[in-house]
Amino acid sequence: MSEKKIKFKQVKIKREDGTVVLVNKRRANLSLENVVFTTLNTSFLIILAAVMVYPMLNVLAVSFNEAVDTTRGGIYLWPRAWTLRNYEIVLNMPTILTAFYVSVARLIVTVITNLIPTTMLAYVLSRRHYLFNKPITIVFVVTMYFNAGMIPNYIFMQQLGLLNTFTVYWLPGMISAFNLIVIRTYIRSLSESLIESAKIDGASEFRIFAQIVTPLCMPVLATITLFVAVGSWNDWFTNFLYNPGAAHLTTLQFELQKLLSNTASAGGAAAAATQAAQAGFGQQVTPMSIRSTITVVTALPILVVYPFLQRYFVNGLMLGGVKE
Amino acid sequence: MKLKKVIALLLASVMSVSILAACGSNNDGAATTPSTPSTDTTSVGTVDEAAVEEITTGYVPWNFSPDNPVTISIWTVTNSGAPSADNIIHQLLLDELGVTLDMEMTTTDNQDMRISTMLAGGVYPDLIGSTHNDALMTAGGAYLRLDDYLASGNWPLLREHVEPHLRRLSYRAGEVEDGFYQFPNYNRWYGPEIKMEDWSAPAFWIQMAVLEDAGYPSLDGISLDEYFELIENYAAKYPTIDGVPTIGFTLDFSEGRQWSVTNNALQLQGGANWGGAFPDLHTGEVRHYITDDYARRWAHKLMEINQKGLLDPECFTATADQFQSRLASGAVLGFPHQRWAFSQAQDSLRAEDRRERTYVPVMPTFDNIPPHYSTGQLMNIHQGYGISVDAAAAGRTEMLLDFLELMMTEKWQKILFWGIEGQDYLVGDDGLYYRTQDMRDEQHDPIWQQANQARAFRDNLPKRQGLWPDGNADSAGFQRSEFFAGLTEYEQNFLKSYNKLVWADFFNDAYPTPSYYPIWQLHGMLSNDANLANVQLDEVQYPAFARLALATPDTFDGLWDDFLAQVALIDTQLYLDEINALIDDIVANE
Amino acid sequence: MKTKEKKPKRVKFNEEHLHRPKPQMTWRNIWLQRELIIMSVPLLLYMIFFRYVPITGWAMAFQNYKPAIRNVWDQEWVGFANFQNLLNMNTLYGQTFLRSVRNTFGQSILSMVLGFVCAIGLSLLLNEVRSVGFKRIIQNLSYMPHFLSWIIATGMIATALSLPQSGGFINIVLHDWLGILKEPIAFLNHPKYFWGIVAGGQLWKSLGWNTIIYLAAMTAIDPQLYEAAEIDGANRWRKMWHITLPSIKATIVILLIMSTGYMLESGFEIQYFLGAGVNKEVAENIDIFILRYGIQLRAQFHLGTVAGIMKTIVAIFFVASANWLAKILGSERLV
Repeated sequence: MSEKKIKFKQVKIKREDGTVVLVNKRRANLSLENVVFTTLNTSFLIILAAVMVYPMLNVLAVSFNEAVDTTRGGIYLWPRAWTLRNYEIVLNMPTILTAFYVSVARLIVTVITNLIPTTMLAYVLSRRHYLFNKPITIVFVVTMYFNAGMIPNYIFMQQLGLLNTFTVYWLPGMISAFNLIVIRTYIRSLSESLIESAKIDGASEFRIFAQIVTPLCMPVLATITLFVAVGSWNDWFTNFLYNPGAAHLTTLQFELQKLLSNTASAGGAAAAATQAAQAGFGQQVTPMSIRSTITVVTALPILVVYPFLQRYFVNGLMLGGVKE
Repeated sequence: MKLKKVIALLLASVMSVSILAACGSNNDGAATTPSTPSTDTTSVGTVDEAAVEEITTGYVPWNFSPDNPVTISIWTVTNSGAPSADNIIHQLLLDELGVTLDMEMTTTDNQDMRISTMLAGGVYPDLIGSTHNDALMTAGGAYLRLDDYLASGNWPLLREHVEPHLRRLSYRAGEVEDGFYQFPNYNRWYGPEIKMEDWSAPAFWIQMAVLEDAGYPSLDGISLDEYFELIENYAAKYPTIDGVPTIGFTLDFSEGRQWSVTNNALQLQGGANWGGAFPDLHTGEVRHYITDDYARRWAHKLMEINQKGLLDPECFTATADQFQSRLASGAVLGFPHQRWAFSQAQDSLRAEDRRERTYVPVMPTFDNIPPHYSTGQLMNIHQGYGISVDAAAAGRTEMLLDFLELMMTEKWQKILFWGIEGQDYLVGDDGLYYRTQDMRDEQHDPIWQQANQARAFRDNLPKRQGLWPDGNADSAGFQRSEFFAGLTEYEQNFLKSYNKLVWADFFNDAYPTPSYYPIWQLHGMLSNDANLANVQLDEVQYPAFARLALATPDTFDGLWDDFLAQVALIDTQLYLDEINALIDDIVANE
Repeated sequence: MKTKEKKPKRVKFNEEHLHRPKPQMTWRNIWLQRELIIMSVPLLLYMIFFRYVPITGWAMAFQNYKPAIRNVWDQEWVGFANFQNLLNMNTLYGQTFLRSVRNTFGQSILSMVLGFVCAIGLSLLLNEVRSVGFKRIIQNLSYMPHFLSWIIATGMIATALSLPQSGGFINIVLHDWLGILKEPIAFLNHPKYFWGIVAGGQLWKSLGWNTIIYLAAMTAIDPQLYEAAEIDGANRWRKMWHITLPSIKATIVILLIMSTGYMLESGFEIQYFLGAGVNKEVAENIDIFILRYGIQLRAQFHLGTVAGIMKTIVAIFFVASANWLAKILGSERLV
């Protein structure tokens, strides 16, 4: 490899300086082969992106299209018979509003109760001289690979009185081993000098964690916040398992699950969907239109904040993730 | 300053007045409530004596009044939506009786899951409204045995409700003590049943328009081939209906409803709605029919119509909602099911005044066997509210029975099933209740229902079905005058063409059944292993039927043999032995 | 801002730090580290409480569990009978369990292979894009499905696979527009497509996201390598094949090894919501087996727990092997 490098440099020297090389490169790019490649590549990527995004746009279009008209088929990217009726119905369902509030509250509480203890523990575990470093790490990492199972967990939550409570949404899953490792790895990559000098100044470990390390961790914390928030927003199983009957604790994803399950659904959104198909509304509503609309309502918050957060997660994923 | 003082004074006076007013109305309520049961129940003759008895036994029922508030926790399996926060009926319960209902609702499809987790946790609400045929919650020890309470005579209406059927309701699996646990919710008729629509009989349904187009052909002794011929001809003639492509035949294959496809194998050979097994007409021995030749012919027929393009290709992946939504589009010509399972679609079509797209039942059979689809309205057992062992441990049993007893009175039955006079119905000069068209429409509006009906609560509640002494039916759905007032000219013509009076007349006359009918109601009395074998059979037969229907003539035989091989792995004999023993026992005790 | 300044120092300092001897486990040292202990031990206890204590529930795997008996320890003990039942291939349960194991591996291997090949391929193509803006747009669009919940994704997948009149765009494109298919196919009616649907659905959801790591690895490739190759007359394909791909080989190997640790997680929602009826025999994986036969059908908790324990044992074996392999290959391990 190094030989080639030298060879290349020699060439470069012969041709005066960098600008010349740049011209050469550009000329190379204009070769027929390259043009064909770039065209094919670009079109392929555009098609791929279209395939990626189409299902989402289609759901959006269906949600704005009249329900009966949708059953005739042929709705792709744009509604044929515009209506806000689907949204009117969905947003008037008491369950959907409750589910929205619960989902938001759950997200906020989960993020706070997740991040603080996880970061604190990650800081402790990043101290290489800490005596219990290894045993604690092992206890946490092992949990990534097993689980007591649904029924043992259920019985346990029951004994703790956590069934049909809001607490069950955040308390049992406060610390994720994966996030812990990611933050720990990040803290270890930070400079020790600040921490050491703070120690010499007599700062307590907690102060170092809260005032020195945490501000330095903001990039990775932004990423973890995103992961935790998305995970909390998208989870339906906790609701399904522990809070299935608590109407005041229902979440958007659980309402969607009811619409999707291959069953005689009822209660909440699903029932309204079929019942709305009755007299008063006529055929203004179908399961398809209701599902699409609730999907949009559910996915929207994430897709709205997505552009603002996307610059963090790429970095964050690299920071703590697999290292080459 | 002065102005503020004036306003404060004004506010204070206004508030005190309104508080007084509230007290006043509360007092009225409290004063009237205790007296209402006696005045209302005078109409039912037997109750009066019981009421006298009540006084002599010295039992003092719970004082349900706003001054004595009580919260009753309920878990119930229902397909109805949750009541809204300002629900009128729930508010009435609170205002008049001081009762707050703390409801947890589970949909039918999540029932297995919820029962499992509830059993695992072992903590139960006051009232448990399970509809699980296998009585899983009784076997799991969740329900309180109520025989001694009923025998005390303190709850005459509840006792009257179950007494004639007590033996049937009391058989249990070996692990649980024999006895009475759950109040039956539907089809406990007081007096003769009211015939209008047969809600529980299976049938092959067909669109009225198909029959009309074919010139009202005779439906007596129709064969399965003739049924599909009608559909095929109509579908060929009208490839789309109102712009939607015509679907010849569909199935409800959603989770928990697949029996609506497999059970037809029995009806097609002249059986009633026995369940997965039935007593053979020749030997009397109970056997499964899903592996017999009739079942094979039924599966083969499905395969044939699928090959012809008449079978809805998406029926095997559709949810129950989607199934109904498809019917409601008016483009489906036929399907097999029971009437209650598509009432929303039928209502929707009626409301849109597309009566020609609604469905009437047809009873095809193989080989000209006489059909026995209908057996009259069957009382539910193992379905409805019971009292939990936790409530009993907390000393709430009597209070809960008092509450249920109160709900059985004419006053509350009418509030729950008719609604509030003036708002939900009017009383005609002849004393019969009726609804205006606006009121009828309102009843179908889901958002209105959530605010004005206690559907989720009443679904599992014991119902006094039949006529009240004042001549009114238990609910609008069984009010004959309401039924005839609701018929359109098209429907009248249709009924006339077939010389029928009501929709239920399209069925055979109620087929007399033995005391152990139907077998699916016996499941709650089997051992766990026997029920497990039965569940395993379901797990095998449902996907197999889907595969067979989607097969081709070349692959059908191979798939059928695979199916038989899978069934052979299941201990079906255990199930059949227990059923046979149970039937012998029931017959011996008759 | 501060981080930027510190960055260059990082590696050096860590190395020095690493060589400092670890303190001995003495009472004095424990006292000195009391703050760290206070900050960590409650959380350790929390984790043990919520994640380890429930494992006592595994006792029911060795019992003939009856929910009516409230106390777990009063149940009838049956030793390994439940394990034998589940592994007995002459029973329906045994066969169903075996089938679920087969489905788990089949679905996850197919999904893994497809996922790897496509993510690497897409990264290579994205890496060839010269316009930064275009590249960023494509990348961001391709990440989006990752943020949708599986519930939403499954709904979209179901729609995509349906018939044209139900909005199934796969049929619309392949049949209505391109005419590749003679007849529209109801994909969910054919079990032979199901594993492909699972793999395809997971691919759609994770493809863009999975390219992040490869693209990052590609940015670390020395540009001079490409320039040199250009002068040697290498075209784009040759450069991709001979420079880009070998340069990210290490990343690929590590990710591949790590993903074997998740072989038993073949997904849940697609199989659960779309796998009823005809597809049952190819859809049910171990997780669904546990839910369906262990919980939903007649509360056979002991069977579900047995299946869960067996899954855990196999999963830990896979993770341990993966970790061991990664160690041999010299990459960073988790512990």
